[in-house]
Amino acid sequence: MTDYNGYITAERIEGDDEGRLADRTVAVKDNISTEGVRTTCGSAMLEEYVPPYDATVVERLREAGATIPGKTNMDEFGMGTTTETSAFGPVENPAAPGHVPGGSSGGSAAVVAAGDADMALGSDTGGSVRCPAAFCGVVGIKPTYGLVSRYGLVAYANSLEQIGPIAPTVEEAAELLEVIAGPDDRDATTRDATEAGGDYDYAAAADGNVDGLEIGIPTELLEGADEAVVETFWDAIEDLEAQGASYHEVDLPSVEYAVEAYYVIAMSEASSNLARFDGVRYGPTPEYEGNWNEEFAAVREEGFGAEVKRRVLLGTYALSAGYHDKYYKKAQDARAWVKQDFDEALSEADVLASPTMPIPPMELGESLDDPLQMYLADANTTPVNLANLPAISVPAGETDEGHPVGLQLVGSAFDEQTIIRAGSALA
Amino acid sequence: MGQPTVPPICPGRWRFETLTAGPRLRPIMSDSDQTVDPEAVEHVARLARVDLDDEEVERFTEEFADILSAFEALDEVPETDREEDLANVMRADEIREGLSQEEALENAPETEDGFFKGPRVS
Repeated sequence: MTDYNGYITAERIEGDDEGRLADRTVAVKDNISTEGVRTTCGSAMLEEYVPPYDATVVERLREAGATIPGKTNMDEFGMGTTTETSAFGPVENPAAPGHVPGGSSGGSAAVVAAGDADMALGSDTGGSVRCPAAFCGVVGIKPTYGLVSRYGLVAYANSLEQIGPIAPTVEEAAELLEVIAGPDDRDATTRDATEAGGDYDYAAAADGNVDGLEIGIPTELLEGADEAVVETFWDAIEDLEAQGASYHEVDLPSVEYAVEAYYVIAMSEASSNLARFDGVRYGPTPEYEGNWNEEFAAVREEGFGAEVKRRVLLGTYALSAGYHDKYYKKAQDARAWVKQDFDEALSEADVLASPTMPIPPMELGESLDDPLQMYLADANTTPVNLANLPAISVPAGETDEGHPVGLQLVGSAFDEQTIIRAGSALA
Repeated sequence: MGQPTVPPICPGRWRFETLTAGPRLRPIMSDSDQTVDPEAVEHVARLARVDLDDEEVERFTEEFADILSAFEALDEVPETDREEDLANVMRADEIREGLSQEEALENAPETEDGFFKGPRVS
């Protein structure tokens, strides 16, 4: 185990003897199923749940020879931006002691930052790979929706989430992405990148060549950001310019509505997905006297933490008669608008750049009392999930206190190579 | 984009709010002063099958007012055409290996004769 609480279960899973990751350890977020090794999703509801099968990405890790050193701590069911909503306690940021590691894949980013694992897998529904990568000073990639199989990933908001790699360098993250990417007949939303105009040579794309790269900078994603973050962001852009890139500013009016749209959609999907936790097929042993509904409600009161209850309730409300059109339908309109805006901006730029997070890592305990403030911290990451696009977070520098700041680069669908190439000029 | 919203042809289509027949949900948040009614929070919690203690009801009542007020911004979003590039994904209907009955029951708190055992329905 680690002194910063990075792992929920530190049980080794050995991979095959040979393969491109044979000498490497890859920690796995605890919402990704591992056969015979408990998978809790950071929830008391699944404290004892042991999956009878492996997720596709875990199968691919084992076939590539990787050793899994353990299952990493996370916000409960992926719902959080700080890894403080875990039923197994918060994770401390190894790169900024006393501060959060970001979330929800905070354990995955922390074990990589601390050097306790060579690489890690996280999952990104609204920024959950990129945010902790930024806060811990490592690299994280959120792949194009459909590039990586979600089979065996415990669902929170299916239409938004992807499993993605976290590593110390862009090249290593790209290498791990190569291992896990590719179609899977057990996830009908996966696509073959080669049929969508891409290919799978990600590690080779990490050549650091940004000569002639055109960067679009959405001004909306800089507004309201912390001063130290903005300063570090421009330093990184200057660095890219010095290496031959150029930039122009772009307007994405739709992104002003992205966080709200994201939370309505994610909460709605969560309220449906989490209906399966009823204490019958898995979950805490019910010892309540009552009928199905009473027992169901009692198991869920006990098994779910506050943030999960909050999202399930608000999602139930957003989908209900009379409010569906007001919240869910408008959020889907916003999602379509965000997609159009990004497609347009990417027709005149190779990548779009912004700070990954508008703020540096929060102090531990600072944000739990104000859920809305925590949601608003996802302003720069959630639009990318709404648009189904790939994005990478690379270390851009540090604040005066020495806290890491991440740069986010967004690319066109199935064009992971371009964000990897651009990111590799910095890390 | 920018066109007026057309009312749904069949507004009743989305009435899947309750698992059991019941009245239309009362608004959680009042339009006039953007406050939230604790009884409405309890009602949604019942629909979602999540018991809440008094402290949680109080806390959520306050927080939901903030969060739902923020969601009000979505009113300004124009109706937008969805350009989804979707195709059905099919496979041959052939028997494949799946979980055994034992494996499927492994995590259940209670089982009986190879079945999941749940509480009585009513």
